[in-house]
Amino acid sequence: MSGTEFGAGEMDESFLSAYLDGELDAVARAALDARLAESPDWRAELAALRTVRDAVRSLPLVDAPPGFWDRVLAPEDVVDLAAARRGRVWVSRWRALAGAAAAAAVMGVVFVPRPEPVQPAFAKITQSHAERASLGNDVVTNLAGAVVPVGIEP
Amino acid sequence: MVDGIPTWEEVAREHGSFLYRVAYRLAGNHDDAQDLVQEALLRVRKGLERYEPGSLEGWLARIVTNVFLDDVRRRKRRPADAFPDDPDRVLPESPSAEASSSELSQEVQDALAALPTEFRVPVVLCDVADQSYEQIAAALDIPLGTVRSRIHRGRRLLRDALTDREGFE
Repeated sequence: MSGTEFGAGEMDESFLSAYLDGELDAVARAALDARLAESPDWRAELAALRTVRDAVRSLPLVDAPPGFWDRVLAPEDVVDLAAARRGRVWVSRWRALAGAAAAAAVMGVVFVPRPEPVQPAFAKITQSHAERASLGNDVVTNLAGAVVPVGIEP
Repeated sequence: MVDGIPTWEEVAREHGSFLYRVAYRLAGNHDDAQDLVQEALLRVRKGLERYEPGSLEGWLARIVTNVFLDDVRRRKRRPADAFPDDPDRVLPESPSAEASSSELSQEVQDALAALPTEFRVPVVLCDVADQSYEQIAAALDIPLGTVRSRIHRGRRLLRDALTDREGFE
């Protein structure tokens, strides 16, 4: 931190924290040393700040609950934040993507338009053929219009 | 590691504890810390190609801080999701004349978690993540003078909260 940015006369107590953290340059540090030498209040403030800072810095090292890193480091097992927050459910994004793809496939099966099944109107066809045949005096095929195809619905 | 750039797995294995420690002190509880770390690692994974070898922990601290601040903003829009009190917290039933160090640590953690975000973040980055004021200023995109004043005000608030506690002088 630049000591020339703030003159010694402009120093406020916030410089005490910077002083503790070694964030003052030589000029500012010397100015603050002089201020501390003449001010019991500033010395007391500095001591209090040092206690607080040391208390925070000496907080015990915390680590994640057992199993957390195993899950995080599992192959491709990067956890979806939203899913995890909703129900602490560990969901691989890749698995989620695979699930989405599967869902899309199902949707495709259900909703992709398919051609109507061919249902030939056999009765009409045979009738039509009979009419055409009758015009040609085809005796045999002229009888076809009277035939009801077995097992085929018109 | 390729060209000084670690793999995602190396980051998680070798710096995961650091990431978690910062996340826990920012969030104040394990559930949210886990969420923060997971999201931070996702961003690390996406951003590793752009990482320029340097202070890896500084880069990680910046990422997890951004994740935390994004979450704070999101929760402000949805107050029902505000960060809960630490469910793991075990408060002493009554003040003890001989407060154990673990109780004192818990009280310090509680006081830290109670700090307004604008003061807690720079204090955690400074005293937990061991970042310089310059790094903190860059991470939070605020001037150096603001970093200094916020750290100072944060520490004063902590002092006020802890002054009357047993075992804290």
